[in-house]
Amino acid sequence: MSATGAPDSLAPLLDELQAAVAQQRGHKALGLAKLLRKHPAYGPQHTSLVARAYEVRMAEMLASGQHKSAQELLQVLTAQQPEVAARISSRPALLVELGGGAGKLLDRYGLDAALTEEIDTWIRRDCRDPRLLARHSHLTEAHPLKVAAVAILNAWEEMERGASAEAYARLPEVIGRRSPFIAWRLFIQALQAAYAGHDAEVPAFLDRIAADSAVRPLADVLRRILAGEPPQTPRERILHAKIVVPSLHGALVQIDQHLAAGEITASRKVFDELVRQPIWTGRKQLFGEMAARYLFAAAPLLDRICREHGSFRKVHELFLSFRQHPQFTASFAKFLYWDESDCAEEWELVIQHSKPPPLAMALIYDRLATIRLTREEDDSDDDAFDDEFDDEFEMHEDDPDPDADAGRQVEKLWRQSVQFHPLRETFVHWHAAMQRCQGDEEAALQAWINAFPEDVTPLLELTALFRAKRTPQKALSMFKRLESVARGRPEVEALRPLLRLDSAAGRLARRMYAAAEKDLDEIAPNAPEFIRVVCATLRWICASRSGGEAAARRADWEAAGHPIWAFQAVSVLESQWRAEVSAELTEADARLAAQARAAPAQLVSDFAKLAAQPDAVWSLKHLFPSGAVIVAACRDRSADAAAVWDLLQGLCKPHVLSHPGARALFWALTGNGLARRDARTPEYLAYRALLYDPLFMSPADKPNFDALVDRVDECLAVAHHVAHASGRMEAVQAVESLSHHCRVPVNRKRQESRLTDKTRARVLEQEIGISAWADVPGRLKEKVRHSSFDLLSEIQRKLRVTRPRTSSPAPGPDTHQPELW
Amino acid sequence: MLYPYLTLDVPETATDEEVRRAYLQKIRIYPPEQKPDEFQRVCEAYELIKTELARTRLHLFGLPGNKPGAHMADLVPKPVTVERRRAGVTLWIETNTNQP
Repeated sequence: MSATGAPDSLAPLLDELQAAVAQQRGHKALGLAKLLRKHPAYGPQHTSLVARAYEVRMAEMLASGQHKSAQELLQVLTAQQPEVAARISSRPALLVELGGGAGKLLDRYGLDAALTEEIDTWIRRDCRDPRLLARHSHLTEAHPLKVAAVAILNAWEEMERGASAEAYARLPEVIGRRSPFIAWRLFIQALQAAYAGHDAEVPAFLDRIAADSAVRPLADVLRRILAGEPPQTPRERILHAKIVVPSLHGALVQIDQHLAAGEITASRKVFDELVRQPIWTGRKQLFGEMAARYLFAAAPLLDRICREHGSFRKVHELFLSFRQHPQFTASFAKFLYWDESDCAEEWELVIQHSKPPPLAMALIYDRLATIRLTREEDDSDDDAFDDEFDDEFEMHEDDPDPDADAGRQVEKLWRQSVQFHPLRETFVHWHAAMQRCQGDEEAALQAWINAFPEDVTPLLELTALFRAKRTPQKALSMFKRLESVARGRPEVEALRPLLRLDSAAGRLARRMYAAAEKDLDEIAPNAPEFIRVVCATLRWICASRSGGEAAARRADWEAAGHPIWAFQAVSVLESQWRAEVSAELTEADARLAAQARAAPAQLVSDFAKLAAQPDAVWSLKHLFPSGAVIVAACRDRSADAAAVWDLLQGLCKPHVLSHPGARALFWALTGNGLARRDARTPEYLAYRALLYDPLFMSPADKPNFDALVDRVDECLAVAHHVAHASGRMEAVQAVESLSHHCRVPVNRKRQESRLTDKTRARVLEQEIGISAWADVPGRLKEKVRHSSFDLLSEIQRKLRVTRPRTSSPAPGPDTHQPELW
Repeated sequence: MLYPYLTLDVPETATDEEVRRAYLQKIRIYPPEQKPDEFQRVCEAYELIKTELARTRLHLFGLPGNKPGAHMADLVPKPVTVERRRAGVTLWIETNTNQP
């Protein structure tokens, strides 16, 4: 037998249940009590123990705020085991009363001392929501508990609404020091002090709340919020956000106002006060953003103060207060980044101070590379300008190339970035930079492909790069990888015949005619017409060299037509692939000349289509035909207007404007276009302005710098006027865009104010009559010869004189205008 | 522009999933056809913090389009009531009783 007199089989269960009850482990106790009830040896002597187990469980539920569950448990117990429920003490029964029961126990409040004490204790320790009493359906309005609970809620709601404080003022009258609701009153008083911004008064109220009070957890939350500690639960986080964050707004508005008024010291005072507030815990990023924005806003003010007073004291003071904060370096780097003046040193400090994670390191290194590259490019531009006009500093072959060294340094930074964390944007930046500064583009693309093997862009770019390097077999192997990830895409399928053409050209240049023929056989017969013409040309050359079917191939070549395309193919073969095709080039040239004489309009049309070819190897990117016969054809008025325009637009780029052959072609095309007097007149005139730019001319043209600069302005002014008058916005935009390509400083507006309708018409008529440099009046050409060095010095001198022209006073009336020619 | 964490009401330590959940919750509150401006604001905030990369970029380089003269007060929401610091009785009690 056990100590409780139970049979031995029941003893372990009873012992365990008693231990659980003693340890206040309600969940376990309830489970064991249920087992005990089902035991065959269970008897009336065990009822009180089971009742105690239920009491412990209900108390546990009460403590964790599960009022309804506790009420339901008690109701089930009363219904199913009335003998056990009868032994439950009255305290848990209060739950039923508070949950909307008959209010029998609560009616005796104040009459029965023991019960009153018990109810008070429950309110003090367990009532976590005064609304239970304030909204109790069976309590009369005059019931002291309801009166107190309602007073609590009214005062609180009034306070939250920011309304008058009547109920709050009456609170001490209704809830005295001995009231079970005293903890609630103290909490509301603490909250009111906090809301009013009297943070120092808050602890006095909170400290008086008893440790076992039901309000104590709320007091602790308020205390934590005011101490700036991070919230611990999701609910606390919401509360924290609602209470703390909006208070920032007022302080920030104050800072904004001070800065707008130029009061740097006053703004700093508010800022320093704000920084000391404990609300920044868990909001480091917001703080960093705010600090950087403060610096950004204060910088112009500080700049002005430094300039006006010649003192850096205020700057020093500001940064001294900032430096005390651990996030200063990051905020300062961010501010400089916005100001577009960030430098490597600042980011290195960020790395040193805050030890960023790999992803952030990757972004920082990407930024460092960009900064370094921009600096190198700026230096390089300055050097180029100096080198152009100063031959004294010649670089020796033994000297290390500083540009190449800088390129390697930048590349190293990008490599480090992708080692920390490979990012697509880093590869895009790296590749673009290598393309721009002619660095190791292949390495950048290979690294990109290694990191993202499925990306189509690097595969396409690398294939194009291998093609540009005339390594067709490498390009073909890359194309196989490209096919594996993007077969069927138009840009991939368009590459297929071009790669075969490249391969055939390479083999033809190495005299592997049979292999070249095999490559050409791979090209589908339905390939684009341009490719078919190039293919026929290559077949003809292969056949004439290898001796097989030469006549038939030649007939095919001639039947393919488009002599200018065939000429282009042979030219590319000779110049780009270093093939010995001089004989074929002569034949192609003769065919082209014959077409230029017989059908100039067809030639211009074919030429325009050739100019529109996007391919980098076989198109006009590197060279294009520009002999006298072609120029004459381009001057021919029978050519289609659209073809003339397309050809000019396709060929006339700033990088070819210095080539004499190309210039002759452009003079002819602009003359042809202007003579039509159609809607494109403004655009042709703008192109004409580019042709007049003396900085694109060679000394052999004998340019008269001053007269030509004025002519550029006049052409642009007239082009702009005509474009506006026509109402075509695309013409206005085209003129604007073309004027940006001029190398001389443009002052179109000055000319616009000087030109009258009459002079505009005269400029236009004069330009229509010009279709070659030889047609340009002698006034625009120097009569005195200069050496090339003298000419450049002269241009440099003129530029210095010309630049301030923009601020020259407005010219006088039209009658005082100088002659345009 | 409000600081995106405050727009979506998520902590600065939030994960992709937490940010996404907060975004979905907000766009339910601000449907595009009823509150287009708020919807736009929520979408912009989401774009700025939806991935770890975006959050890191925001942390390092700040909000995009910062110009001199940008007000600091624009970073945080305006207080909803006249008085300073208000949370609401229900919110306090729910915090106390651990109710969901």
